[in-house]
Amino acid sequence: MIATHIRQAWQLLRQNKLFSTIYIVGTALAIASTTIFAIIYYVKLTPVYPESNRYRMATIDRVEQKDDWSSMQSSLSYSSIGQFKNNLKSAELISAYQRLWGGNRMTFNDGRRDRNVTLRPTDTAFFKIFNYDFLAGAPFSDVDFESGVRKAVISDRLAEEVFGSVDEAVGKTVTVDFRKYDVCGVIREGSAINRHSFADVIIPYTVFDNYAGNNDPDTYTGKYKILLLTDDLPAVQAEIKEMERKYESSHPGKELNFWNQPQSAAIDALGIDPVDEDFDLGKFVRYNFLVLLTLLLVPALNLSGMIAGRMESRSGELGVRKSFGATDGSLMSQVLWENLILTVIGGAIGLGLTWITLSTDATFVLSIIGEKWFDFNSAATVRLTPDMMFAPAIFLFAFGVCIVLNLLSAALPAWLALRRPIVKSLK
Amino acid sequence: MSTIIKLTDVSKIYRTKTIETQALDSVNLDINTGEFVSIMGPSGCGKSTLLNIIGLLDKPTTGTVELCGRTAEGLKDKALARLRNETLGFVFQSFHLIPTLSVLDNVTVPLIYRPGSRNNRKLALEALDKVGLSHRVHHMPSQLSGGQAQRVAIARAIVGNPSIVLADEPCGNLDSKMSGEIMDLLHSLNREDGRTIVMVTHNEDQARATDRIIHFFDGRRVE
Repeated sequence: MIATHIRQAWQLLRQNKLFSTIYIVGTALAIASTTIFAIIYYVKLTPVYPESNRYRMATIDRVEQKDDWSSMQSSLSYSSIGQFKNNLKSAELISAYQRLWGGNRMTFNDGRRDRNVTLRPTDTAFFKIFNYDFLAGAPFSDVDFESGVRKAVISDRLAEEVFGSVDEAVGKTVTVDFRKYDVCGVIREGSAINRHSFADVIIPYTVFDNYAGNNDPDTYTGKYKILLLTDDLPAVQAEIKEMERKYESSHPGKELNFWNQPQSAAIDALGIDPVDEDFDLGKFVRYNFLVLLTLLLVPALNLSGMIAGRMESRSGELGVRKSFGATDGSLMSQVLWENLILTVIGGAIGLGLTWITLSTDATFVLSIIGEKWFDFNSAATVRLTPDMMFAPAIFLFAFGVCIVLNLLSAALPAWLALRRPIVKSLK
Repeated sequence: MSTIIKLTDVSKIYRTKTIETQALDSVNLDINTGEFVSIMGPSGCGKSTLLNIIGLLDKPTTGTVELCGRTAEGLKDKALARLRNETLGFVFQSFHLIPTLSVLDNVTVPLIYRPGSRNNRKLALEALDKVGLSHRVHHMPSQLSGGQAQRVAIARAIVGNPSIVLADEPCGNLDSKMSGEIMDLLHSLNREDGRTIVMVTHNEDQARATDRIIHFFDGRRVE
């Protein structure tokens, strides 16, 4: 029976070219717009390269320190990194990187124009938290880090742009903010959507003279972000609370506040403010699901109107089928199947549109939809690799959206048409 | 001969907010197995309403309908659909072929709604062979003449081997030559296969060629 439905859907498609084209284009646009969001969230939330430890990763972004006269919120101090390493026993690995404000300029001495780069001053644990593919060379070592040697790991895209190829880069020098760095490794670039792991140039933060700030153990505010790996996030959060309690008991009149940090990488990627201690993930997901449904409802209503018109013209057919023994259920199933075929064709085109658009200029597309992925002032363009765009989850999502769109657009007109008495349908 | 269609005190009233129309008024009717019956009468006398009620396409306001010894009263939609599928075949004046299906797929329609039906394609080809259209199986309805379209409709009506064929002015849209061919076909289905045929017609010649003529006037049977 399904084969007959498919044959008929194909005939309907051929015989009603205008209807089919409008329907398919409408569906394609709806699928494309929702799939772009799906790809962004897929890249943000699942363990894509190089964030393969994402389900175990957590972040500490901000701290608040206040007393009777002042209050300060900012990133974390160098000394706090040591405090975390001493106190967070449930964290398997802790890394920190400096948050830089303002653009970082790469300059060339061969007449080429300067360019912005995303510079990531960090430590060696950074390369254990993120599993970068080293296409050439290796990360800077613990000794390099401790001694503040100016070494740099650069992205393959930058290596190709600056040196012509990945293989040529190691051993050469790059100049960022008028400091020269010896390239020690080249990594396969991740996506700029992932603001922690993405970088054009990764260097030891110890190259900066003032990397330790005042190094006062009682000062928690500074310029670092903390990344950690753990299998027991609540335990780490409890350990942080204990740090707060100890600080406040030994510093009467002062307050230290990490809110509900560390946040899981997922919560962090969703841009949830750590200050929002009442945040409810379930509510957030439900809300966004409703937003998605509402977004789909608009094209679904348009498509529904078109289908209602077509059901009117197919009224006789429904009457004939009922005369020969079709039940309302079997006819509803037929209409949904036929429509699903059109929707799936639209969905496939929508997926294709998504891929073409994102492959051509993902940065532009994401800027249109207001997606903020830049942590720093950078010339980074968003690269989405095939494993991100062609992930089975994306196919499943797109197919799911097709089903929802199909049900939303076809079920009501079909139901209304099927309620009509057979005799009226046959007139 | 046994009664295959039995209508007892069947009335049908159509009501709107402002008007009430009595389409059928206490109709009693027995049709025997293997009979070829014509229903005649002026337009609006209730012929088609009667056929729709016999075909379980419409429900009587009062009275009962029995087909093949099974009463239709109280049956849910699903059971009515099953009874239609198993016992009835329809031939409509305007053919009502599905324009997006090939001839073969059109003929297969009743079989796809029959649970457990097998060899649908073979049965459809046999039905088309019977109406002399085995060479048109892959054509679309728009590629057929009126006579051919009605033959396909007849093939569709008999493919499920129903005991009863209901034909609502089957030659109403055909010229006299094609009408003759269709009537010959219906007579052969009646004679050779023993199918009961109930036909609504305005054509006296066609009606005279059937076993019995039932006249209707203002929703009532008249002798």
